[in-house]
Amino acid sequence: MAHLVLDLPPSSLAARRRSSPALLAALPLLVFLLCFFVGPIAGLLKEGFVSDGALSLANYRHLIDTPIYRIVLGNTFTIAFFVTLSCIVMSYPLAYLMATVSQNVSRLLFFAVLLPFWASALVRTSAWIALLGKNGPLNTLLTSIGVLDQPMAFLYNFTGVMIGMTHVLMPFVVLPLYASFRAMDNTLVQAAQSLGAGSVGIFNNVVLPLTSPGVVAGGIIVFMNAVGYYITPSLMGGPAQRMVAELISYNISEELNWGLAAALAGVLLVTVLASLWTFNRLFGLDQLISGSSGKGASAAPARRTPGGRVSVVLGVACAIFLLLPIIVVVPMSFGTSDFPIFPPPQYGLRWYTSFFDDGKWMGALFSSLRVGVLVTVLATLLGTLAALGVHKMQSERKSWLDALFIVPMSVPAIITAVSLFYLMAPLGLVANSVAVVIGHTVLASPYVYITVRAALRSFDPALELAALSLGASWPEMFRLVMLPALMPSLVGGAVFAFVTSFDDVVMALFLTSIRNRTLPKLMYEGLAHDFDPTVISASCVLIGATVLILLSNMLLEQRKGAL
Amino acid sequence: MHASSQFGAIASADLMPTIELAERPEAQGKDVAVAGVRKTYKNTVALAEISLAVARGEFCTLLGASGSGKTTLLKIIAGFESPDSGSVRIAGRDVTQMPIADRNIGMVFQNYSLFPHMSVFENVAFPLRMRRLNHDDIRRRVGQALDLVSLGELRQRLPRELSGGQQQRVALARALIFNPDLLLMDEPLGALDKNLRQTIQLQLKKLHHDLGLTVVFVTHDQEEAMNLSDRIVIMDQGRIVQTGTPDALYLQPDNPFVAGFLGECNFIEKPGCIVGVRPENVRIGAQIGDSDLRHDGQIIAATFCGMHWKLFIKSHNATMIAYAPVAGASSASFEPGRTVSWGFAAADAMEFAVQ
Amino acid sequence: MKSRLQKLGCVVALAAAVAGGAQAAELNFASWGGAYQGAIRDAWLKPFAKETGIKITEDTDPQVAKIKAMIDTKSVAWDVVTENSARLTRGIKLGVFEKITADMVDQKHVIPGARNEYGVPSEIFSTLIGFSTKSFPAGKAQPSTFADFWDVAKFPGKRTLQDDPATVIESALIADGVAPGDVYKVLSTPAGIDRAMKQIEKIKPHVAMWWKNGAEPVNALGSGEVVMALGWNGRFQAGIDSGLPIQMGWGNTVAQVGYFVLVKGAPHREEALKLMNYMISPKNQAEFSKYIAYGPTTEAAFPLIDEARKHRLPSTPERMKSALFLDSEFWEKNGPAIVERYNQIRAR
Repeated sequence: MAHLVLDLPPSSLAARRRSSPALLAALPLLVFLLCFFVGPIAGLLKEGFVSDGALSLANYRHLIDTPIYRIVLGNTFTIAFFVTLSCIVMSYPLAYLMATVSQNVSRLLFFAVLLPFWASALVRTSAWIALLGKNGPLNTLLTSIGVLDQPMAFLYNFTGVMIGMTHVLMPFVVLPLYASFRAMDNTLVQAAQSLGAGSVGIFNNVVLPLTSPGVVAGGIIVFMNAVGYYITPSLMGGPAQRMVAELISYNISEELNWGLAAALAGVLLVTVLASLWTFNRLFGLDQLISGSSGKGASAAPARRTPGGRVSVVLGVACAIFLLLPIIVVVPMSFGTSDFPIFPPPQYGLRWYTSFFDDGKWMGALFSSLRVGVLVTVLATLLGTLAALGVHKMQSERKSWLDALFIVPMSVPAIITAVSLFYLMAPLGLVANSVAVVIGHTVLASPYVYITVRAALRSFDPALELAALSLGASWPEMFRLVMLPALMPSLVGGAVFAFVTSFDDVVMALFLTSIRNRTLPKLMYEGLAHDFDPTVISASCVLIGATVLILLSNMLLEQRKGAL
Repeated sequence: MHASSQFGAIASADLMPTIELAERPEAQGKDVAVAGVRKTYKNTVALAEISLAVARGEFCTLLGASGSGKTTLLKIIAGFESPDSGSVRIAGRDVTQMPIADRNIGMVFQNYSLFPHMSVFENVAFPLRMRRLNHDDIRRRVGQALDLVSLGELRQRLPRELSGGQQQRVALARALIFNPDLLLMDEPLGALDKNLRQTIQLQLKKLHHDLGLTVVFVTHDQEEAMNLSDRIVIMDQGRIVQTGTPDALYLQPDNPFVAGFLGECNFIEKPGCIVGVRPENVRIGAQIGDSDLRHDGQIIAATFCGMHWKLFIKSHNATMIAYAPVAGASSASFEPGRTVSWGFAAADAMEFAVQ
Repeated sequence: MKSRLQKLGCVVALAAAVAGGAQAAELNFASWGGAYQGAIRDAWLKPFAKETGIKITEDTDPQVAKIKAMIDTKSVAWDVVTENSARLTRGIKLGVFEKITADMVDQKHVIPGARNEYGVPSEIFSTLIGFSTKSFPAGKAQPSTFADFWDVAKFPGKRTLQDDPATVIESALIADGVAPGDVYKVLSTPAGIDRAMKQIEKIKPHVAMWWKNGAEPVNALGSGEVVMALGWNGRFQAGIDSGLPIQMGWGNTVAQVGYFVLVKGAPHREEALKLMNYMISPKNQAEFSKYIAYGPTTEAAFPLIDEARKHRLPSTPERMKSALFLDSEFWEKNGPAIVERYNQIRAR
């Protein structure tokens, strides 16, 4: 080793001296992800090429030869495509509205976008199921005002899946689109107007071209997320909306067919990585880094363009669409019926009592909190260190590490969950919370990494040099100069990590047992086995918690903005 | 209210206060020697074997266009970059491998790099805290330093509540408070408007004089370099092109690059050489002496510059610049399209070998 | 690699055993949640715990895959789990359940058709028609057989079927005129499976939803989402009892047996056997139907059940005569392929 160093020219010696602490900082997350993300997934994928103990392509051949898998893959891509499309279409009026209203209204709209985004998938899904049922409030309303002759089937079909998934994924388009609208030079619109363009002309010739990069970026993210979706289509769709992720889960937990599940996971993974690659080619992963740091509210100057009245109405409708299930679920939680009915015929605290008095629900809540706190600490530490390390690096490996550290949040949770299950169940780590903490940390550390990395990018490197030149050691500089600057993003990342863990169902389904199951898992059981109305009161408790977290985070962002 | 008081502060600084020079003390600064420093990034050579000695108390400016290597050299002296080869010595001590924090160098950054979350006081106190001074000493010395740059009133403000010129002075106070061996300044005046820049240049010169600082100053602005420096180092493509006092460089440039970089210069190609003539040495019409070289040309444009008229003359397919005295001339005499004769004294011609 | 994992598993198991040794008698029980597990709790677990002082911890979702993972590492958390016959068969193939011998649990009095070497039959339940009495009120034609379920002309309206083909395929053939006794004979040929699939295709346009848990068809009938459902009698009964406008048609039924199963390497084997013996006694078998309308697995229990309750149960001698018992061997062998075709038809 020593002679190797001596052989190097002095320049690389100097470079080595500078970047080795950087590498050291990135190392923990790197090792963590290699052990608990890359390794397990590779192990799972390997199973796809094994059949009856020998290497073979039999599993993939089975996928190709059996019509149902082609159909399900087709369904998956079709649904993902249409969800992407509907997200884009619905985002335009909403983003336009957000960019043109007064600051306070804009903040309210931000809240409408972010709340469902942060609320657990199960909360949203159970709310939609309650809302959209044949005798649910929506059908009651539509038939009573005469829009429909008889109740329409919104659930367990394509419509149900579209509604559920668009609701969840829309913010990924709304936020970048909002940024594009804000960045758009309003004089261009005025110029087009003065040149005689009408509303449609302005939209087609000015607005559309200028906002398209943001939309395409958001669209790819939506697509990437949508192809791996599991919970929403499984609960809101029918057999014709079965998606790949559900089949992976089925083959593992019901059929014990790891080979087929691995082959399906392989196809899904390739799709997601291809989308990510496309994103990288078109926009660079940087965009992902800067894009997702914009999750907080920011002030909007009022800029109203003409022809906007229709879009205002549509925008308000989209905002209502986002908030509706969350608003409806609150009164429902105060019902006393065994079935999800809106409006409830009778009010009472029955289901809250059942939530707070039942050891099962409280146990799950505390398990969720414990796991959430552990994950937050771990992910914040690993993510921050890695962001610092990569930030300090100079070489090309930077982009590789960037990619590796971001990928876990793009890979469908089902793949990561199943891979970790494959690794950890044999080690007995599922029975205690080690597995789920590790799984959630894999999911959550990219969020911390991204937010801190973005903050580091906007951190003036001269400040660091200034502190060092004024006699501070690196740790002193970090504590006194860098950390205060990073703090808001660090806290933001940590909050995100906590919410990621607190809301996750898929990982918990595979990586926890009765003794340590989390609240979302128990809620899933309450929806999947037998409808337990406690799920709705539990949803409201979660929504309440999310609102609190979101509000405090917004306040924090505001303070950051003021600084 | 706030705005007007801020304006007041700037205005008083703008009035060019009479500055009393103190007795110049024993120079506080140390000498710096850079020897054979080389730096490459991937395939591009940023610095090619640079050697430079700066004496105690000297104000030395690195002047060059962007990419000339001046900032890289400054960073190597500061310790932000390490050279591929060569050494940096301060007061004879080799600091090439020494961490930045131990070099005892004060630095003023291009955009000041004040810590945004710390008050003026805390910013200036920072180096003293790092040096573990006791509380009272810190209060006293920060107070003195802020008085020195006339910012005693604003000690509790945050950097973003200050004007550009005030931020500049905080940065200066922060860089000087720990009596650095050397003060490095990286285009510190670039962000200020012209009037303010002149005021600060003057204050800087006074500080330099009063404290006996050794200053290495980086700029791309030749006028600023001439205003401030004891000595200017002109850099191009990672090399030192010429070193000298401002007047020596202006009057006796070694090559056309220096002649053209420092002030304006007309170049006339001659067989085997290039002749450079400063515009103020170009004579027009009746001013041309008998022994002078004489050419005819056509006026393209004329601009009134206060002290002189600046003429653009087309001659031999080249455009010559000449400064014509204001006395006795009017805009009519330099009407575009008119033919004029121009010339210069042989003694004013700077002759350069063709490279 | 594997042996090292196993060694590690040994260590874990050893640690668990050491830790467990010092504790009071306890038992870990896992079942499938909902009204079903609620009935087990009220009829058996609570009185058993009271009588013996054994502390019972309940869990849900005892999927065979999970049990396999536990056993592979010798970190078994469950003692007794409940499985239907299809899952029991799969578990036996994977070797995750312990054989129950006569000296462990005496099952001489159990209905012969329900017996299994690896499980103690806990109840008999049936898949049958449930329909909305709002759509088909008394006094008018009411559906009763599987053929009625497929007859959308006579009984118009949306239906719901199970997402899992077991029992649905059988019902489809019976509706198509196959005698219950011949169903598996017909299904043993590809032509028979095609015939069943054609039936699914036929009813598909009228299926509003494909249910995944036993409460869904009851809720759907109650909310009016569907007018007819193929579901489990106990769940329908629960709906009827809570006042929903539901009635069952007993013309055809597919009967299934639920089993209490002992997990291989169960940490509390003694307590587990105690529970199984407790549950299978005629007296306690008669208790179960108080809480859910599932029938006892021993005829000896019927004298202890009053007439009114008997009418709600699927395992009365006369109902057993017309019932088709689900063939778990058939499903274990052909399940995956039929699931794929069943999914394929419905996915279009």
